[in-house]
Order: sequence, then structure tokens, then C-alpha cells
Amino acid sequence: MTRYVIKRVFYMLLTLAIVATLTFFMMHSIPGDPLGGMARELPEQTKANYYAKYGLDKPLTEQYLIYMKNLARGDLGESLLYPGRSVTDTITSTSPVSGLAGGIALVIGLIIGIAMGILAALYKNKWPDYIVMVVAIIGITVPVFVMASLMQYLFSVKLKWLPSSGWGEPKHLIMPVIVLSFSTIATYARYIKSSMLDVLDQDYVLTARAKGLSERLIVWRHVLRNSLLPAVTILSGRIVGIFTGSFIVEKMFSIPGIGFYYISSINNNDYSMTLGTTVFYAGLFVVMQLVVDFVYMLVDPRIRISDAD
Amino acid sequence: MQNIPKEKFTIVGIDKGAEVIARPHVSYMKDVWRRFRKNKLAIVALILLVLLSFFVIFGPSISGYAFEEVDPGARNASPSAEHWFGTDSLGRDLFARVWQGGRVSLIIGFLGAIVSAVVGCLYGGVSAYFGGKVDTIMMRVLEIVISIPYLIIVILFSIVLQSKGLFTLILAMTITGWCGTARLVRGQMLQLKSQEYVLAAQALGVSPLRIIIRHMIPNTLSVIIVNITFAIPNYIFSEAFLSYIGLGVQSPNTSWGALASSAQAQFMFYPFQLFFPAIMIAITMLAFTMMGDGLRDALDPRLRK
Amino acid sequence: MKKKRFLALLMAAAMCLSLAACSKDEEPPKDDPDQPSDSQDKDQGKDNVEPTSGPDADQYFNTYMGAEPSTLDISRRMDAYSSYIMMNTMEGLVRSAAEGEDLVVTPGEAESWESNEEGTVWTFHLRDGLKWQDGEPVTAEQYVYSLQRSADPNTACPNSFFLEPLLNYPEIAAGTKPVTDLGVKAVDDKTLEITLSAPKPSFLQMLGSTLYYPQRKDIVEKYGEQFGSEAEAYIGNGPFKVESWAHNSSIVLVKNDNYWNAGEIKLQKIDFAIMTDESTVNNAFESGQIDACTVSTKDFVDRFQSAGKTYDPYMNNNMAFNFFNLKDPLFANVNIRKAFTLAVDRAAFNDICYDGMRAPAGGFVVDSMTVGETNYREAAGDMIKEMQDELKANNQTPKDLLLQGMKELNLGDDPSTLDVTFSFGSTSNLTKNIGEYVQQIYKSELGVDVELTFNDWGIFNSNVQSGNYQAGFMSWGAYYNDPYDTLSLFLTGSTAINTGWANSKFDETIKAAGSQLDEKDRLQGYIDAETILIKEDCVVSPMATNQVQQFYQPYMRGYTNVPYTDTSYMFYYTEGRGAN
Repeated sequence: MTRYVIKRVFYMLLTLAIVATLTFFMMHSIPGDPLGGMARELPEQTKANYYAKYGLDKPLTEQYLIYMKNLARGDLGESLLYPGRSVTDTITSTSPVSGLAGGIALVIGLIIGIAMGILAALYKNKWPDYIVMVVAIIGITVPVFVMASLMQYLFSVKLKWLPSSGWGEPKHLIMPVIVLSFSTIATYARYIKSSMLDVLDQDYVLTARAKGLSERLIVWRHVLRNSLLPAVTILSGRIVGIFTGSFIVEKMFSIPGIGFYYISSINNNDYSMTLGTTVFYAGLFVVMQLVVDFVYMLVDPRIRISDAD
Repeated sequence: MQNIPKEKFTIVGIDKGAEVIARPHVSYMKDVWRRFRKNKLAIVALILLVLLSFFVIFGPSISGYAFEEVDPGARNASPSAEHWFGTDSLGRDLFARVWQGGRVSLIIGFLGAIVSAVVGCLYGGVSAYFGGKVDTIMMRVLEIVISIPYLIIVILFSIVLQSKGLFTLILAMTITGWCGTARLVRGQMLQLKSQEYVLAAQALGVSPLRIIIRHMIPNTLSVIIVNITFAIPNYIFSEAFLSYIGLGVQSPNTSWGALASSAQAQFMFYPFQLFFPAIMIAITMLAFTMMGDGLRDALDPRLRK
Repeated sequence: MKKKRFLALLMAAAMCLSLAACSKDEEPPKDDPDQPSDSQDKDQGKDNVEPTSGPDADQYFNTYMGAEPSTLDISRRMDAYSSYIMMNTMEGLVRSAAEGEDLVVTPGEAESWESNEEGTVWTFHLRDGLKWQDGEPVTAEQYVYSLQRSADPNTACPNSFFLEPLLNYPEIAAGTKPVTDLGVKAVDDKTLEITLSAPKPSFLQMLGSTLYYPQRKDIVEKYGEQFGSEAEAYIGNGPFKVESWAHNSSIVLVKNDNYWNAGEIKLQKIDFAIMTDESTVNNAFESGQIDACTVSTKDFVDRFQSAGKTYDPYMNNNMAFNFFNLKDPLFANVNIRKAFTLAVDRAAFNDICYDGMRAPAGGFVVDSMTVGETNYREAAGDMIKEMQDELKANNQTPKDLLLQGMKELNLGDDPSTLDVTFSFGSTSNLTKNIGEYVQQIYKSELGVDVELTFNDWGIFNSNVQSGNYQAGFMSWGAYYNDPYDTLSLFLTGSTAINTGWANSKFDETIKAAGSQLDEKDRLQGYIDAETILIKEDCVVSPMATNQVQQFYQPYMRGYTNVPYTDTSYMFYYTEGRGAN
């Protein structure tokens, strides 16, 4: 097992290197440069001085080698759009913000979503099932900006209970968390319902029923556990997602999270920031994938994942 | 084992009466259809989809207004006898626009979901079935595809591919869209891989692709169906996002996603401008969800009666 | 995200923009024939508050900023947002202030100044007892250091083109002369001498730019590359000081008691919440969380007006226009360009695309610009209207011009066979609406089926720069109050708006006018140049000037919205906050 983990760690580093390489060259082939945000086309001399300062005048391959060398040392460089700010600092200070809002939303979404999924499966084609279906459709088809804007209007403008946006106090969390949890609820309710129905028909559930086990025990011990696999897969993606933030929700509630940097750096050709956030995201993702594979084996002992077979 | 003398056996002949098949032979697909038909919700869904298709085809010419016709005198008009769904900020008839927009959106939502489901199933299926090195490499490739920011990929896409047709659009949308499905399917299949019927099929020498397609995918169908029903509205919305980098529908043509996002800024004042495209997306998703549930029950061999 | 960059770009680096201008380019407003005037409005605002006896005891101003400032280092900043912090927390030699409706250059840290006869050597006398926020004295040497640092190629200052009038700047930027050769020196602690390479009548206007503020060598060197990236790594000499800066969340300023004019400052605190979303800003304003905001649609104007908010709209210096690629075979023809320029009724365009909330454009120089005391646009007239009237008087339509052009190019007489694509550098709804509207107009007026492409700014700009476009649409914000600022964009060889146009008569006229000290002659020179640009050659087709729909809470006092001013929030105060 240790050998397997070592191997996986090696693959992780390889994956990260490939992601950084591809992103580097793709990013640099998008038209524009960090000065594109300036109001006017700058004089050639000004541009040349700027490129020289940030090493953008060097051949692309040389820039790439410098970047990879720094990356290997864990140095993500300095933002081009925000002079003087290190990319590492930006990531370490903004991802916990996204993580807090997203994490609470995820936990709440999971609890409600799984509960709704179980109900829908147990009461299939009865009203709890229909309610779940409608909630799922609303959760997916009502755009986030509509939900956020309506909530701001209701709770801030009309009722004056909550500040419409901002960050720093617990009350700032309430609306973003509600908005963010909606899609988790919708997703989980549907997936759990569906995979539970699959399991409910399995022979071992019939056996358990025949043995006279209580319905609650059957659901908890046999059905839920065996229907968790899709939930685990989706969860891993969502955990990565909370640390990279939701651009729209962060924008609408003025949350100083990482989502803004992840998107805006691409628009502004802030190469170092884009690469930094991408490597961060990729790093989280590959770790989560490893975790997922282990959890698969835990949830279902029949599953064996290794390189050896 | 003890030898039994031959003469101890007597031939009793074939009891023909016992072998008669009491019911007419029903093929799998026929059976699926029979069960699907019995599902009322599924039929409602089917009717909804037929209705949507009808309006999408004929709707733009029903209201008597061209969908791109600007009317300075009727800007932001509420729904009325003149304009059944109201008008937008340039005074264009929303009834005509909503149905016109539905053409692109329905095709994109449906095709996008199908493409990503097929690719995702095969990718996830192969990865899980073969396991080992194949799985390792395929999953690393998937990690790379997921990790590169989608925005960068589609921006490059719009630059490299100068054509802005439907094909480009669907390609741009599905280029990373299959990853989620593939991960889901892989997870499910890892579980199925050790099931007895897979072992049996392997023992019988069935080809791996056939095992994946005939035996394993049908058993993960319920998850795939849920995945597709979520993918459809996602694709409809993300088409509007793609128009941001110049890949979406081209003006003056429109789509539900484009209509919804252009109604965004003033939906506090003219909620109907957002309501109609959004409700169409919701109806589409509802129809596919109900149909998906019906299909799932119909396809499940264990529920066969 | 999309529009932000586009906007930042329009508004950009400037010293003279109002926050308002930064935020929205988004929504199409509706027509409002009688917008209430300033004074009416303020009265209306007052009606809604209890009568108060004077300024509130607790003075603070809650406002917002449309995006995170890039840095507080004046030599490295590249966005418009940081300039709001600079203007409030720093001060240069002069400030452009409003006197009623007029713009005047008032003394800042310089008490007085004079120039030699040619207008090439300027001497500034600093006030007595000027201090930085930490109590250190402000010296002329700090001004010299600041300008040299910005000019230094190793600093790579993106806004360094503001230094272009200074003696030896081009050579220093190219690295062929040392920074010490820059045309600026400290005669003594309180006397600064700036030498220009040529007379520049608008030099005093340019001096308001943040680039002409002083800098503290000790602090800059202490923090090195990090200077300006955090509240702690920054120092100011202005009316307020930065108390805290939570990145992408808020910036809090408090009054600076060491400021020379601190006695006149009533506000104790300014809180900038960083809000990037328009509807968030509207909701925050409506709920009272912020004290000022701008809106972009007529609906919000009506809604906030009826809620008793103070409405104070003003024209800013942003022009939206179409421009043509003269290297394109079709648009190389002046009659074709003229047809596309005149086909659109500017008033109808403004009513439909902007809800009548901007002003139909009469030329490329924005309505707010003045030459000396004279309003430029009033003197130059509405050139577009004149051309349209002239056409009508000749009993011609824009389509006739188009057909004439097509004949000259041997393209037959069927406009629908033309392949014309208009490019847009934004994908916002507003831009889409504009595109789809003109598409319809060109079809009905000219019979041309125009194709539209909407791209993100970076892609659009690179297409334009490489000449890979036919016609484009964009907006441009003027930097300082002189028509030279915008007209010089069309000098031969200028890459700013790549039209491929070269006209030596225009070049000569504009250059001569730019260094003409006599205001009357300067004005006439600019008018002649603009006539060539718009009427004769039809290189650009100006569409509308931006109007900022500014709102304040009814208790806000002391604000001014005259364009190009940089007094910022120093004279703001509140009266009757919390009274309702």
C-alpha cells in the first residue's frame, strides 16, 4: 500500500507539471498582455520597459524554464495585475474565505440533500418524491444571480435584517451560504434518490427484509452505504470547488474569495496569478482523486484500485 | 463417484405440454416501451417535449412579429394581447424570441448532454474495467483536462476555430463536460466490476467493450440519467456564457440562455423578460427529469413483471 | 467579469474620472425628456429629511469601489480605481477644482507658481509646514524623486507617458540618458522647477495627475517591490490616510490631521466597500448601506428619485463611437464611411440604446471639454447634425452616398451583397443591444446586412491593432481637459485607435493648435482639425457621450461632480443622517 501511495504521489507531481506546462503555453497564446487593461495603447518604449521588468521580453521557452524552476522551489511569483503581491499570499489568504462560505454551504447542502434523497427514494412516486423533483429543478434552473438578487432585495432592502453584501461578520455569511447550498441540495437529492432505488432492489436488501430487519436498519446499514459511491465522487469535486470559490456568488456578495482571482486573472493576462491558481486547483484535485479512490475501497470492500493488477 | 449402471435409466420422453411458452415473446425493447407507457409522468413528459418542439418550430411565426424586429415605440412592454410574452428593451417581441431561442437551446442542451454522456461513459467504463495502468493513465489525463481553466480552453478554441457554427459550439461545450460523467461512471463501474455477472461474461469470452456496453453501462444507467437531466439545463445556460467569448449564437439570432442573461440587469423591473426563457429551461429540465425517471424504471430488468 | 475590464479600460488610469463612471456600461435606459436640474434635485432631497441645524456630529461617508485597486504605488498603478485612494490620501502641486460649473486649477501643495515667457520652465513654490501623514516634512526633493522614479525604465511605470512633456523624458525612457537628466529639479526645499521640452498649454491640467504627486524615498525603499501593496506599506500627504485595506473587500480612510488644510475637512472616515456587481451596488444603496451610487437605467433613476434620493447627473468625458479601418477595401472609400456615419439618427440611438440617458454626440471631442473659458462643443457645433442636414438639403439619403461609393468601387448597386462586419470589444448586454440596434438600422436605412462579432476586449483589441477588422465600436475616456487629449489619438502613426488614417493637414493643424498659447487660436485650430477628422474624412463616427447617473443619500452634502476635478471627497459631509 505504501508503495502504491508513493507511486500516486509521483503521478501527482507529474500531473501538476503537465498542467502547469499546458496552462503556461495556452495562457501565453491568448492575445493581449497584462497592460491590456490600460486605457490606451501605450507607447512602445513604455511597453518595452514593462516587459523587460517582468521578464516578458524573453523567449517563451526561457520564460517557461524560469517559471518551472521557480515552481519547483514552491515560488509562484508575483501578480502582474497587483504589483507587489505574491501569488502564494493571495491564494493562502483568499482560499480560506471561499472555503468557509463554501464549506458551510456544502455541509448544509449535504445534510438536506441526502435527507431529501432518502425520502424521495422511500416514497417514490408519492408527494415527497415530487417535492424533491421540483426543488431540484428550481435549484438548477433558477440562475444564481436571480436568487442572490432577490434575497438581497428581500432581506436587506425590504426587511433590513441583513447587510446586502460584505465580509467579516457571521451575518455576512447567511445569504451566500443559502445561495451556495441550493445546487448541492438539488444535486444530492437526485443522485441519492436514484442510486438508493438501485440498491433497494438488490438481493441483499430483500434478504435483509426477509430476515425481518427493521426498515430503518436496512436503510442505514445496507442501502445508504451502498448508494454512496456517486455521492463520494461528486463530493470530491465539490470540495475542490469550495476552495476555488464561486465567482458569481463572491461577486454578488462582495466576498473576498479566490474565485475572483481565478477568473479575472485570465481576462487580464495576469499570467503568474492564473498559473498559481490553476496549480493550486490541480493540486487539490489530484489529492481529492486519491482520497476518492481510498474512500471507494472503504465504502465497498469489493473495489480494488492499484497499479499492480 | 459410484458408477450407475445404464439400465437403471429409463427414457420418459419429452413432456411437450410443459415447454409451451404461455405468453407471447416480448423483446427487451418492446418490454421497456410497454413499461414506459404505463408511467403516467413519463407520458406527460413526452407530451411536454412534443409541445415544446412544436412551438419551437412554429412559434416564431405565430405572433406576427419577426423575432429581430426592433420597435422603438414598444420597449419593455409587459405581456398583453399585442405581445403575449411582452417585449425586450429594444421593443422586440418576446414570444417570437423565446421560441426562436428555443431552437438553438434545445439542440444544444440535448446534443451536449448526449455527447458528454456517451464520451463520459466510454471513458469511465474503459478506465474502470481495465484498471491498473490503463486506469492510472486515463485518470491522470482526466485530471489534467479538468485542471486547466475552462475559460482558457474556450478562448483558445474561439481563436483557433474561426467557424462559429453549432458544431464548434457543441465541441467547445463538451470538451471538458464529459469529465464529471466519466468520474461518476468509473466509480459505479469499479463497484460492478467484481459482480458475478461480469465474471460470468468474462468467463464466456465476451469482449471487454461488449461487457462495458451491454452489461455494465445498463447497470449504471440510473446515475447516468440523473447526470443527463442535470447536464441539459447546464448546457443551455453555458451557451450564454460562451457567447461572452464570442462562441455563442450570433446576433441577431438568440437563445434561452442569451435571453435570460440579457434580462438579468433589469429583472427587478421586468421580471417577465427573465421568467419566460427561464420557465422554458425549467420545463425542459422537468420533462427530461420525468422522462428519465420513467426510463430508468422501464429499463431496469429487475422491475420486469 | 467581462465588462469590468472593458470598463476599467475606458475609464482607466485617469486622475479626473468620477467613481460613477467606472461602474456601469450595462443597461439600456429609457427616455427622460425633462431631467430635473441639479438644484431642484438637491432641494427635493432635503425635503425628505428632518430640518437639521447643521453638519452631523459623527461625520463619515460610506461608498463603494467597482474593483480592487491594483496598488497604491503611483509609479506602478495601472487601473482607475487606485486613483480614488490616491486623490483622497495624497496631494500634488495643484488640484483641479470646481467653481460652480467651471473647472479651475487651484493651489495644492504649491502655494503659487510661475512660468517663463515661452511656457517651458515652470517654478512652483511649496507651502510652509507641509507634512506627510507621519509628520515628516514634504520637500521639493521628494517631488524630484517621484518624477525620476516614474521616468526610470527600471520602474516600468505604465502611466509614464504623462511625463512626455518633460525635458529629456523620451531619452530616459529609452535608457540613453540617466534619470537625473529629467527636466525637474529642487531649487531648495520649497522650490521646484520643471522644464518642458516644448510649450504645453495644458500642462497645468496634466499636473493634477497622480504621477505628479511626491514620493518618500525612505518608505519606497523600505518596502521595495511590496510598496503600495498593503495599507502599511504606503504613506500619504493628503486629506485622509489609509487606515486599513482588506484586499478585494474594503478600504477604510480616516482623516489626516497633518494635512495642511485639515481644518476644512469635515469627514472623519471614508469606507470604500469593494463591490463589483451592479445589482449589489443598487441593493446596498437602496438599503442605506452606502451613501452614493450611480445607476445605468432609467428604471433605477425613477425608483431612487421616488425614494427621495438626491439625483445629480452629470456629463463625463467618455465618448462612444464607431471607427473604420481605412485599410479595408470597402471602408477606404469616404462615401461608404460617410453613409455608415450618417445612417444612424443619434437622438434615436441615444433614446433606444441608452434610454436617453446619455447625450447624442456632435463630434469626437466630448461635450464637457473647454478651451480656457469656452466650451469646445458649443463653439464647434454639432458636426454630425450639420452633415445630416446638409445631406437632406441636397435631397440625398445616406443610401445614395453608399451607392455612390459602391459605384466608385465597382461593386454594383445592390447593398445587400456587401460583406460588412462590425466588431465590438465587449459582450455586455448594453453592447449587444447597441450592435443589434445598429444592425437593424443599417439594414433598413442602407439595405446592408451587417454581421456582428462580440469579443472580449483583449481579442478585439488585438484584432484592431493588427488591422484585422472592418469597423469597430468602442468608448474612450479623456484624460485631461483639452481637446488635444482626444484629437491627438488620430495623429499619423498613433496606434491608439488603429484606423490606418494618415492626413498631414490634420497632423499639422492639431500639432500647431496643441502648442498655441493663445486660447482663441487654439480653439480654432482644434475645430479645424476636428472638421477634417469628422466632416471631410469621416474616420470616426461619434455616437454618444456618457452621462453619469449619480445618486446620493439625501443627507450627503458638499459633493461636486464637475468632470476632470480631483478634489475627491475632501469637502463631503453629512447633514441629518439617521434623521428619518
